[in-house]
Amino acid sequence: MKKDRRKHEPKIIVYIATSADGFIARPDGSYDWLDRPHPKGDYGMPEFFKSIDSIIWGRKTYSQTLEKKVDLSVFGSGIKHYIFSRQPTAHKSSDPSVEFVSEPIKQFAQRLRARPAAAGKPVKDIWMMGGGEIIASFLDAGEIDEFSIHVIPVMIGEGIPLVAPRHRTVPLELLATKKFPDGVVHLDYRVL
Amino acid sequence: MRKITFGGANSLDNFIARKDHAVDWLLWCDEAAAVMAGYWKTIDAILMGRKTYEVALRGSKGKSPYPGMKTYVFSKTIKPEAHRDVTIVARDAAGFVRRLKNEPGKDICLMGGGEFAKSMFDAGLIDEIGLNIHPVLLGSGIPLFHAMERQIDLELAESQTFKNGCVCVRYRVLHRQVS
Repeated sequence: MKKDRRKHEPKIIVYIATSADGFIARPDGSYDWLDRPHPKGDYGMPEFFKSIDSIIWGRKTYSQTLEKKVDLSVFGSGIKHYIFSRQPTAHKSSDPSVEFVSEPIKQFAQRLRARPAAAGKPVKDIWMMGGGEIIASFLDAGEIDEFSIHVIPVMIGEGIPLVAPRHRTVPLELLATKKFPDGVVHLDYRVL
Repeated sequence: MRKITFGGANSLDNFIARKDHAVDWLLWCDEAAAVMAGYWKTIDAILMGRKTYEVALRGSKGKSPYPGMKTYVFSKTIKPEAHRDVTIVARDAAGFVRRLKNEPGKDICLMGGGEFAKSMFDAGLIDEIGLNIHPVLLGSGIPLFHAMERQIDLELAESQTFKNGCVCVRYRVLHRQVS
């Protein structure tokens, strides 16, 4: 799946934590195992937050986040949230930064990548929040550019895999690795 | 006590082989070879389940898959008399492995897919996990880890990035204190 993407086009990046056994959440969607003291520098998360201006969510992941009473403003101000849903009209949000989407993935991704930058600023990247189903769907459509993964030193035993299982092989190119003092390993891949 | 390490080469989505056991996606390099050669010197025994043994036997054309290593195959169905190069363990795998760990000897390697490893994890007998994470998503296949009901906390011992894009990580299992 060779992509012909212009160099300065914004990327769609899966930025996520997995357990050492490859899960992004427990079977019920919970991620209590991520609640651990963060080392100085917060795993480089503040820098990543600055590099994006939009977040793509699967509907389930979004709902679970709201249920946890997480305020979307924690992801930064001026961030646009796109929530993929098969029934976008079934959802409403009074938050103007939230948009429900049911567009075909390819079309949506092209629209998003082509959006203009804020005046005088470079256009920013797009954070694919997950979960595993929407990551797989975007991957199938050839619309994931990078995986940026923090591997947590814990095996949770069972849960939701990073990518929902499919019959396909996706080659990756390792861009960078980083080891944090608490045993978290950061892996950066480009989708080839 | 002898240490048991479980692991192998895996895809980023944690498969050790395609559904048909194919490992065409495996990358080999001098760096990985050096790590393996170093590790090989620290062990003198190999544990595996029946399925892994059968795959290994096919690879070695019926001869002992790991000559020079004491090989233990855990199976209720394999007939020991037909497999004299290995030791077949038919009953009480956990008890057997626990005794083995207390015998004198080098460390022990647990090979293969997650099915047998799961029972060893459940029994708290695995001390280290070594992965050679390959830069590929396979989408489906034979998983390295099988579902377990409990969480196992790890400590990163080592991580090494190879030129070919593989990342070699070694974790220590933090055994729960039995009170």
